[in-house]
Formats: sequence, structure tokens, C-alpha cells
Amino acid sequence: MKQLNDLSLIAQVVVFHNTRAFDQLVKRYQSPVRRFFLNLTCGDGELSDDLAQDTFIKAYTNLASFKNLSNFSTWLYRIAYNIFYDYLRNRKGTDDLDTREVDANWNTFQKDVGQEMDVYRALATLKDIERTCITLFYMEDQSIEKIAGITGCPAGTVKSHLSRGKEKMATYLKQNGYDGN
Amino acid sequence: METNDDKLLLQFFAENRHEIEDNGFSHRVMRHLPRHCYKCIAQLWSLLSFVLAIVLFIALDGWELILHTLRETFNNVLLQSSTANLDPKSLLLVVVVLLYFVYRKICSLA
Repeated sequence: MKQLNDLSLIAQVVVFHNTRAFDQLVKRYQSPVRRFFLNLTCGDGELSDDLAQDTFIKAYTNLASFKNLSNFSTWLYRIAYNIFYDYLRNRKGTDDLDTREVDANWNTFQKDVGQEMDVYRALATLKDIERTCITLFYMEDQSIEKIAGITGCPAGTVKSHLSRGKEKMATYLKQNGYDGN
Repeated sequence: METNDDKLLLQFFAENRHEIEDNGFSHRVMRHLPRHCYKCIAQLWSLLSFVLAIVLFIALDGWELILHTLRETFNNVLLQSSTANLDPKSLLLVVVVLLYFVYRKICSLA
């Protein structure tokens, strides 16, 4: 039903250039897309919103190329993934995504300061691609096949990234006293 | 198979999954969308240019000019072919090949 509704909104945007329909799509998907970027950037809210904005603008300009071979959300995550890796590539020319800088950022954006274990600190222990796979799988409930479609990696490679990321995160969580209770 | 690490991570992410409030984000996105009116202006400009071209074509007697040019070209080709002793069969072959290419182009456009 949700997918049908998405298709109806997409058709209105593509055929009639109905920006109100696109506004509804943005409102519907802003939370998962911004949360995805928040996790990839380890909590940099300002950067996440900029990247999320670029994602929606790119989605708007390329909406006619959406062929409904996958869910709209999967298509949107793929754009978001490409935007993030374009950003990383451009950034690598000047400086690397430094986990220390990320650590400095996370405090300002963490709402629940009383929470002992911080998701962004834990995610910062992972490589970019591992973080992407872990975020999509555990936070955004995407299947391995969909993650493979989003990242353009074979399913086997996604499984390897997930396995390594899971191991690193579990070790980090246990070391920091998180046992799930 | 779900391992202990799986359960740990599933619980950890479930606890940390929060919906993000819009807080003006969608409004900000909508303000930055490329404006459709620019596309309309471009289309209008193309239409005006096309109309102007048609008007000039009629005003300057375009058909007559084209026919005159074609006639001149045809006469020149005939004149040259008669002086250069071109083989009519070769000419026919060239015409057939050209017609075939035109036909393929039209088919590809259809």
C-alpha cells in the first residue's frame, strides 16, 4: 500500500511536476535518510542534513529514471550512498574522515547524554563500508540483497563486511560494559 | 543462524533507533529544488525561435530558394557527370545506398 502510494506521488512529480507530491515524499523519507547519514558521519548533524538535502535534490532531478525495479526507499538509499561516497572522495583530497574529529562532533548531537553507550562512538570503530552495511542492516532493516543493490557490492562481500563489522561492534560494546540488559 | 552478537547488535540498534523530527528540513529541501519554470522558459524560447524561423522562411520565399538551389545543384551534377563520363550504374548504386541510409534513419526515429 505504501509502495503504491509512493508510486502515485512519483507519477505526480514526474508527469505534472507536482512539487507538493515531492514534499510528501521528502516528509515521508527524511527521517530514515537523515538517520542513515547521521550514522555514516558518526553523528555530524549539520553534514548529515546537507548530504540528505543533496540526496533529495538528486532524487527530484532523476525521478523520471526511477523504474520501480526496487522500492523507492532502496533507490533513495542508493542515491544517498553515492552522495556520501562522492563526499568522502572529495574530502580525501583535503583530509581524511578522522575518527577523532568524529568523536569531537558526536557529543554536540547526542540527545540522550545520560546514555552510557553511544551508537556513534561504536560505529566510529568501523570502516566506512562496514558502517554502511551495519547501519543499513541493523538500523534500517534492509536485507542483504537490498544492501548489495544499494552499495553495488556482491551479496557475499556484503556478508563479509557485516560479519567483520558485527564482530568489531560486539567486541566494542562488550568492552564498554554493554551486555543488552 | 542468529548468534549472540546478532542479538546484542539487534537490541543495541533497536534501543538507539529514533525517528528524526522534520524541524523545517523538508521546507529547506523544497526551497532548493531546481525550478521548473526555467525549463518552461527554455521550451518557450525554443517555440518562439521555431515560429520566427517559419515566418522568415515564408517571408524570404524559402521554398523558391530551396528549389532554385536544388535545380542548380542537379544541373551542375548532370553537367559534371557528362563531362567526367561517370558510369550511370555507379550513380544508381550511390542513390540506392543513400536511400537505404535515409530509410534506416527514418526507421530508427520512428
